[in-house]
Amino acid sequence: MLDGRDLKVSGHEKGFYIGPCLFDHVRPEMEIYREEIFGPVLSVVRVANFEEALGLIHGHAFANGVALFTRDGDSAREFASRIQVGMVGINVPIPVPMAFHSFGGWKDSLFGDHHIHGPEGVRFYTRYKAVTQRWPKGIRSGAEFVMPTMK
Amino acid sequence: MNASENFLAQSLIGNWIDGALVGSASGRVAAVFNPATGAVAREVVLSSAGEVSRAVESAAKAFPAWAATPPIKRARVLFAFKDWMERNTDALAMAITAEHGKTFDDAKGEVQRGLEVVEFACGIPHLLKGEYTEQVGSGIDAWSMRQAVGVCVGITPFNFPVMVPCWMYPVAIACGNTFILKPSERDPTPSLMVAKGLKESGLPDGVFNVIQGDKEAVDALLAHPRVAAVSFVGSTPIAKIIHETANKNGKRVQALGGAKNHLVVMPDADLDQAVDALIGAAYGSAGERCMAISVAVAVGAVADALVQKVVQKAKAIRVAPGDAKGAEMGPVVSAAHLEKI
Repeated sequence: MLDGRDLKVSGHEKGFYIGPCLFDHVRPEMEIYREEIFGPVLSVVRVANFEEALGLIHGHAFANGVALFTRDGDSAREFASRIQVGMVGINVPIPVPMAFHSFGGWKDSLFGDHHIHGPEGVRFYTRYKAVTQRWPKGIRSGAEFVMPTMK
Repeated sequence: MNASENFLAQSLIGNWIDGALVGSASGRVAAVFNPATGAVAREVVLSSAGEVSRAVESAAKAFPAWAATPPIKRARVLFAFKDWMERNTDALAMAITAEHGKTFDDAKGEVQRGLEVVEFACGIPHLLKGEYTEQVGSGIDAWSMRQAVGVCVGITPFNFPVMVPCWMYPVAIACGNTFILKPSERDPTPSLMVAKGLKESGLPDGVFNVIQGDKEAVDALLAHPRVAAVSFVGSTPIAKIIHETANKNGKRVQALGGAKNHLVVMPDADLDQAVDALIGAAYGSAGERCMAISVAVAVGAVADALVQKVVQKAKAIRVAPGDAKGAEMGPVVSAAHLEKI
C-alpha cells in the first residue's frame, strides 16, 4: 500500500532514509510476518474475530510486547489475562514498563530467568543469602563452681 | 562547548577504564556514520581481548570496596548522577541524534526513560532490605539478604544508546556490583559521556567501565572467569548464543532478543485514537525499537477503514534529518541496515 524505498531527503541524498512502508493482507506464513525487520514497515493481518487474533499472536515465535485497542472492558480484561506475551498495552501502543516495574518478553524474546530493571533487576544483580543464627546462653545463669565439662 | 560537542569533536572514540579515557592498541577501528548525511563522522576503536582483560581487572579490583560501601552512600552517587543527567539531557540527546539518527525530541524521550531507572536505583537502601524471622527454632533467629554478585557486563544495541544501558548499570552498581558496558559500535559516544558523568557524580574509578568493540570483545567478556553476570539486549539469534555461552561459562545471564509486536484493533475501538497510536508505534524512530508495532491485527469489519486511515496519515509523516525542526522520522542507522530492510 505504501513503498518508502525511493524516498529522497533534499540536501541529504546520501543519508540512510526510507519512508513508511505498509503491506495489507499479510498472512502468517509469509516471511514478512515471521521475521523481525526493525524498520518502518507495518503489516496488516485481517482476522474474523477476537479468538482468531489471540490464536495468531500465540502462533508467533516472538512474544515481547502486544497491544489491544478497544472500548470494551471485558475484552480488555480477557486479553490481558490470556495473552502469552511479556508486556501488554490496553489502548497503549508501546507498553514499555516504567522503571519500577520490569521489562522483558516471553518465548524467543528473552533467554534467561529475569526481566530487566525494576524489582527483577535487583534480583538479577544480587545473590540471595539466608542466615540462621543461635547464640549460646550468656552468663545470666550465674557463675558455675563445678569443673567445666562438655554438656 | 557543551559535553556532547566535546566528545563529538573527537575523531577516534576510545575506551573508559579505571576512571579515565584510554585508547586501544588493537589497531582495529570501525567507522561511525552520521546517518542523516551518510558521511563518516568519526571512528571507534575495536578492543582486543587483552584490553577487555584490563577492564575486567579494574572492575574486579574496585568491587570489594564498592560492595562494602553502605547502600545509602551508593544511592547518593546515583542521586548526583540523576542531577547530572537532567542537566545534560540535551547534550546526550544531541549525541544520540548525531550517531543513531532518531529525531532530537525522540532522543530526549529516550534519555528521560533512562533517567527514570536511575531514579528507581536511588531507592536501593529500601530495595535491599531483607526479611527477618525471630525464633525460627528455640533461641534461633533467621534472616535473608541480597548481596552483590561481582563484575557485571552489559552488551547493548544501537537503537537506544542511552536508555538500554540505563536498564542495567544503575541497578547493578546500586546493588554494589561493578560494571563493564560494551555499547554498540554504531553509536559509541553517549556511553563515554555517561562514564564521565558518573565520575563527576562521585563514582569511584573502576566501578563503571566502557569497552568499545565487536565480536572479539564480546567473546572475551563472555569467557572471562571474573565476570559474574551478563545482560544483553539485541537480536534473537545473538541473544541465544550469548545465553548459551554465558550459561556454559557459569555466569548469570539475561538475554533479550527480537520482537514482532502485534496491535489488535477491535471493531469497537476508537479508530482515530488507534490509528494515531499505530502510526507512532510503527514508524516512530523509523521502526528501530524492540517495542515498535510491526503487525496491525484488524478484527472483523474494521480492516478497510483502518488501512485507509493509516495510508492517509503515514503519507503525511515528515521524514528529515533528526536534528531538523519538525522532523517526525529520521534515517535508519546504517547503509547496511537500509539495504536489509
